[in-house]
Amino acid sequence: MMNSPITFPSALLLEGVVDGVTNHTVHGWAWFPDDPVRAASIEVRAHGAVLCRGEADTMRADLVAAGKRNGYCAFALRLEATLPEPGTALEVVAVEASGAQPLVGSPVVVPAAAPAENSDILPIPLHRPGLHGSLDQCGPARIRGWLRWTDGTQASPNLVLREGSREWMRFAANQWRPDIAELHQGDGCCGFDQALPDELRDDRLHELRLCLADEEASPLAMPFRAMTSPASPEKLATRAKLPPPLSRQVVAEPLTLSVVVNFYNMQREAARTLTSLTRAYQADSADLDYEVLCIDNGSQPPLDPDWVASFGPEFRLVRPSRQHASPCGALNEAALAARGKYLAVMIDGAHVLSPGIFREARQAWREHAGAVVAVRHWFIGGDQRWLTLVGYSREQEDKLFERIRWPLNGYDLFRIGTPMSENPEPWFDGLSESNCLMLPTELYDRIGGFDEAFDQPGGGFANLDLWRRTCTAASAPLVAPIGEATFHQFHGGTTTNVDDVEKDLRVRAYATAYRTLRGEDFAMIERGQLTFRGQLRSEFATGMRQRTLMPMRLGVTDEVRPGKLAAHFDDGAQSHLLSVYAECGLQRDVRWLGQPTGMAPADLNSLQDIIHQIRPDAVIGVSVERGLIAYLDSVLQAAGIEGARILHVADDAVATSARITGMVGTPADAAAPTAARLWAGTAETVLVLHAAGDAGRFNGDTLATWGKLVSHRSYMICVGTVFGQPWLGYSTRQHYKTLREFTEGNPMFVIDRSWTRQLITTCPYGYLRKIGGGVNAASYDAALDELGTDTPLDLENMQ
Amino acid sequence: MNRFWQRYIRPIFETVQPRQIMEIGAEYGWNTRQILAFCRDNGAHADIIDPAPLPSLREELARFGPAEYRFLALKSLAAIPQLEAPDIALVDGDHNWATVFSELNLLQARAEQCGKLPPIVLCHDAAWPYARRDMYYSPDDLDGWQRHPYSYKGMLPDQSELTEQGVNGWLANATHEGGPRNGVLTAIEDFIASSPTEWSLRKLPFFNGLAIVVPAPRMTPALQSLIDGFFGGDAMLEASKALESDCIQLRAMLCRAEACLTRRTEALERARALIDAQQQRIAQLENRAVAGID
Repeated sequence: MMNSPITFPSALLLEGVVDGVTNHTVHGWAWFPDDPVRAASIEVRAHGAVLCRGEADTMRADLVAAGKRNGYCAFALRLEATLPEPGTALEVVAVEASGAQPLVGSPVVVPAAAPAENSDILPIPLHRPGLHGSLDQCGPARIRGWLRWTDGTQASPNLVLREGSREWMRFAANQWRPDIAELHQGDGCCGFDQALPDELRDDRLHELRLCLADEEASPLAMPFRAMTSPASPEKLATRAKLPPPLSRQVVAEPLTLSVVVNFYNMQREAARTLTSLTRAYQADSADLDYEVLCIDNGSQPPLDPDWVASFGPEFRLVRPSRQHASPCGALNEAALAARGKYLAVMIDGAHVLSPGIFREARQAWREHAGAVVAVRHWFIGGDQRWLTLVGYSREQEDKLFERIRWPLNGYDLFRIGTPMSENPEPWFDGLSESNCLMLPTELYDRIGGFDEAFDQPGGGFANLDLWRRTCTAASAPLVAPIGEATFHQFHGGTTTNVDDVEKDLRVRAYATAYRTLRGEDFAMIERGQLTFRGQLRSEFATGMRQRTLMPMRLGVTDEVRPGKLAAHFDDGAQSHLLSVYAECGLQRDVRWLGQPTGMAPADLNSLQDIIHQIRPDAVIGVSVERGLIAYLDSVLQAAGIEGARILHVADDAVATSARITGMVGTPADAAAPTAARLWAGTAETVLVLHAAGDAGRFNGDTLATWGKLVSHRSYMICVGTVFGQPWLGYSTRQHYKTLREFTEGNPMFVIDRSWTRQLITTCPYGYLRKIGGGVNAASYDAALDELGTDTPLDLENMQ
Repeated sequence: MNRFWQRYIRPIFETVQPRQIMEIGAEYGWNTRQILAFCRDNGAHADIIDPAPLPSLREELARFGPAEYRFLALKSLAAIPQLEAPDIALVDGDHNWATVFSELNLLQARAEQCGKLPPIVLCHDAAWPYARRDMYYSPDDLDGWQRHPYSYKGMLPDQSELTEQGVNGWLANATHEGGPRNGVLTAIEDFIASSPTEWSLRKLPFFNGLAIVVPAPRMTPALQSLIDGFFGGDAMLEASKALESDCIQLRAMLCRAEACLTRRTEALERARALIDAQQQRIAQLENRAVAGID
């Protein structure tokens, strides 16, 4: 089917696309970039007859991101009458007074029978009177989108997902969506993002309806089709073979607990690990009947059985009958030799325990005999993946142990350790694995123990897989003790003692192997599934990842790890910090030569850096504080920019130095920009600072007016765009919206957030860089070379 | 990417004879035109993905119809899971590690889901400047952990730090080059290292670079021979000619720009002389007025 380009009499540029025809509905989007206020009227025609018509005014999140009419230009027109014959060409046009323009993709052909094997292309607009939203995704595992009332209704829409008469799930559209919040300035609690029910996830195509729970009406004209992927263990089992249950001999002399710990070439670390498993070290364990089975999985030199036994009568060495790079087989073999009612499995013997682990586990089992106890893990020293690159060694680590005189007080391990979790609340994070997983032996056997299909050196994700399957099979609480941990000692581990890049490569390879075996990506056990118990017996156990380890210099390295700001301080935290800063008015205390500048110190630093970089010969300050003008004066002088001038446009502007020209006026004065333009004259690099005030002084028009004075690759800095707590609803300052609308309408400018990385800024989103408008050979206007005067200058009287 | 079409991409298409093609990032539609012409001639179908279609792309698409293509104004990461798994994917979207790495993983996952082999991937910008440095068309659309610090400054070869005098200063470029999770080529290499499939990676290191990424199950003797031929003496000679032609074109543009700059400078010199003369004249008149001379 050919679409011939057609010239239309219309003067308006149309932009739009027909996405397709699905389920009696024609989907697409259209708008007029030159007249964005007007919504495009769309008609669907066949054989000259209009089949349906409607406005392209529905919002779609992807169109927001693409900058198309703020997203409000999607359409979904239902072909109410009988669907035309397959093969019929449907012409989709935007209609205006001067004619009709076809959209890209028009004519679109009505498909042959409904392609039952295909899911519908999302997003699909959700729309009905008083409501609008978008269904962004449905399948393979989740349903996502948003829906909000437009009539001021405060309650969140409640939705039902149906298939025929069957109700699959109910949920409210009440989750916060930052993209919607941006559009509605603090609103945005209208999203939904839910896991599809396991029963629905059967690897089949479903025809679903999304309805309002209260009235059973649907914001979708027709059902939609979605493909799901399998999820439930039963379904997974058909795709991924799970290990068979372990078969155990009857135990002659049963014990309460068997610890199975795996070692490979780590005698130094084994000494401390085994010490931490002794009765003398583990608190309240005098009456505990337990054994420690130490696997030596092929160490060179091998561990000495007598040396192992020297830790106590509970300890014995176990040598696996088969040796593999993966320890899974050896762990299962040792576990089958264990006599305990409960097992504690430690796949990495480099983990030394804190003293209360046995106590906490016993307490959990007293409360619930089937409880699973998963101990969190910390690093000795710090993040060993980084420290190994900068000189951390076993000898350095030994010094740390000496300094706390371990094992005198086992809880002093927290003084020299840091949690592996990057979560700021490490005790309450979800759990991906445990290096001391304590569970009923019956449960371990039932789930088949470690899956020996994880055959990579070290076992890959075997430990994570065991934890996940344990959680799935357990019927009792999953207990994550607080204040007790295992501490990883530095050794040649597969992922803990290699640099970030190598670790990432290995972890991705392990993740791929997991996906191959289980048919899905690994997912951690979320905190909501965990039960927390315990107490902090060391004040250092409250530490976070970046806490200084000890108040002494270890001499390990002088290097500093480059932090990932976003991992520790995200945009939401920065917004909170800024709002606190602004509401306390701290920027008013930032003065220069005794006068307030109205800017945070980091902004002043950014400003001098910008001046140093672009070396402006003219700076225009619109409604900014006198202190800021004085600061500019000082910086220009210090930078040695010869001839640089400053124009201060303000109600109280005065010239306080030869460099400064004062002009009394406001940003909205019609005459001020003209006078400023004359003042700028032939300056090559003009920098503009525009104070953000109320809507009358700071709006799209003032930004556009003063923006025209900004030179190519220079800046317009909007001073004071910080605001208070918009989520409380009382803020009337919508600077971000103003700036965003300005940059959308003026693509020559971008919001350069690289100047606000110092966290505290009074100009969030306020650094606008002019990156467009460059002149090249093609756009060069040679007429400008002529000075435009045919009248010779009257110089006859020159002397 | 369009500059690779004639000598490299088209021969690959003709050898592989893909039935389903995916283009991520169409920009002006120059490459799209070639793809859709191939589709029309060979009965293939293409999914064209670009969240911000330019008018020229719209014009190119209008030359073809639904038989040849389906267009999606979506971001690639939203579109790939919804589309049929392609035989060949051309990737020229957002040039950063997080996006490219995710695109490649999604393409592989989609192929698995559809029971197809992973696609052959032709990935643009696998050489300087974005082989080892991220660029973000829309930085705020990525989570903080997915992007490096960036700035709207340009780049120079062999210099990690951004500079005002460099190229592509109008884009949000990562402030440093190299290191983990940085750049298109790094994303491709990381993907291959973590994939269960064996992949062949060959790079044409000019015109910003083209990575030819072929999964082992799709590699045929004919395709292997064709790709090997891209790196033979004759092909390299042809590439040298193309690069020389490009260089001459750039020199011509530079000459035009210098001519314009010269004319503009001369004009400014005349303007300055005029202003100076007028200022002198004003001063004379003011002096006369002060002195009471008519």
